[in-house]
Amino acid sequence: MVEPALIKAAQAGDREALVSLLREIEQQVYRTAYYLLNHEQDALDAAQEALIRIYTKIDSYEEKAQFRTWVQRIVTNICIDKFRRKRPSVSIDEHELVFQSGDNVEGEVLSAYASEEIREAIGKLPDHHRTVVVLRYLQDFSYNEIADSLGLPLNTVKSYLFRARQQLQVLLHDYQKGGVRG
Amino acid sequence: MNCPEVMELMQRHVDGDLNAEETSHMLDHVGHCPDCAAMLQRLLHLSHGLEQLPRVVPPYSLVDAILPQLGNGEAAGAETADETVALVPRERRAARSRREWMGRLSGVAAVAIVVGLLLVGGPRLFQLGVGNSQMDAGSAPVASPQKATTFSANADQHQVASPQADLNKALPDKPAATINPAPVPKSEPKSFGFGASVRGSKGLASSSSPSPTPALTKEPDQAAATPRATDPVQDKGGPVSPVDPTTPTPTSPPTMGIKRQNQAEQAVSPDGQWKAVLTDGQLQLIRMSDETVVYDSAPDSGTRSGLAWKDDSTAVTYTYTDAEGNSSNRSFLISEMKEQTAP
Repeated sequence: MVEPALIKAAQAGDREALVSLLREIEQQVYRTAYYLLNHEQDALDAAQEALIRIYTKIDSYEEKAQFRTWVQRIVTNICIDKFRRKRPSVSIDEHELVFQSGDNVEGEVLSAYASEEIREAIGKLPDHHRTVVVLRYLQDFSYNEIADSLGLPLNTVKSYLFRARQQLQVLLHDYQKGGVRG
Repeated sequence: MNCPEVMELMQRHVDGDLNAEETSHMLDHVGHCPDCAAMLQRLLHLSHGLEQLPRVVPPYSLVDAILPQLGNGEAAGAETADETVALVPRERRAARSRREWMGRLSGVAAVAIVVGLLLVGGPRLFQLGVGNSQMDAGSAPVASPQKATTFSANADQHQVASPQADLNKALPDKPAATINPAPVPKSEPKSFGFGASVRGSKGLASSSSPSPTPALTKEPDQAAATPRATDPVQDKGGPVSPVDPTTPTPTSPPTMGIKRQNQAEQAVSPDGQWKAVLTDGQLQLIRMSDETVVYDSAPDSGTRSGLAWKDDSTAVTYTYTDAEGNSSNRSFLISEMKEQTAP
């Protein structure tokens, strides 16, 4: 957690404080970008863009919001812009997905999901569902924190998260069956 | 309570959002509805998988990578400098096309003179005319490279300018002569551009070190073409990254901090209704009547060991050890379906 004093100093124009603040958050920023974009280079680009935006907009952060939800709002916005722009050219091939599972063929019905499988499945979710899942599981955000980050009503957050989990569960279940037979 | 309602309860249960009463409603239903029991198990399984996703970290320090672009604390300043760079090629293009046009025009004039001389004069004059036309035509290609050279020197200066300004600020007693942007050897500017951002440098002082960084191998001309502040990693981060950016790293990062001990420990409650299971230090609670997993602890950096049930089967206690190795006693209360620090 970022110290409030550090944020204040950064807002007051202390450049060193601002840089150490960025260092503290760079991993969490990258993690969100990585799982939202499902692509390392895109995530590096997006995370750096987010850090630069945080650097230039630090003045606009107000204490009534949690700092980490403010940070996540910035990075998720950048990522959503990126994948919306990219979407037409990106499609995950269903077959590719099935045949990639080489090392996990002999599984039980509920054998542990490989993180690779889960990442692929998250990549298939609609924008908002994906974002909610990433904030819930990669940032350990509560319903309220997700709602604050995304500017969505609490009930919408819950319904996105619940639907996302149902979709993931179906995708991964099918995937495992496909993996076992393929 | 019908299945869709229970579905919502199960979803909230996965997030630890139910109170004791809601939990017991859910468990009542799950106890006699095999479909919901299976769904609960799948949701818990999925949630567990999601919690286990690797906490990926960037292959290099992103802050170090963007430091040069943060300039003197004014991103606007950096943007202005970049615009200047962006303008140079356009000027150069205009200048070159003007030159080419002039060259062509002089060529046409020369041909006209030759034709005129041919018509009027003899073979002697013809030779003279050819000589003139060659000289004129030659002037255009000579002019272009000159212009191009000037441009690349300019671009190099801009490339250096922003980080140097930084450097100047960080080390105020550094002689001004060192930021002289006069023709820099071609390989040098890169060591400032992104070179200052290589992982390992701490803060401004070291990141502004003028020593060339061996990690950078990119051609300086490419760098001159892509120095935009708003798009910091146009160079794809390749040269600065110690890891090949095309290979996905997060599948087995050593930085995850998730322990995989694979030790299973279990204990059945005295009344035979519940079974607590520890796998990889994570707690699961299983109801014996239908083997349903009713609780699955969120994976954290800590581990649990030493399961012991209370005589009245209301709680199971164990030792919780966090990432730093600090141990504390915890218990899991059946009535609340959650873990807490033991009194």
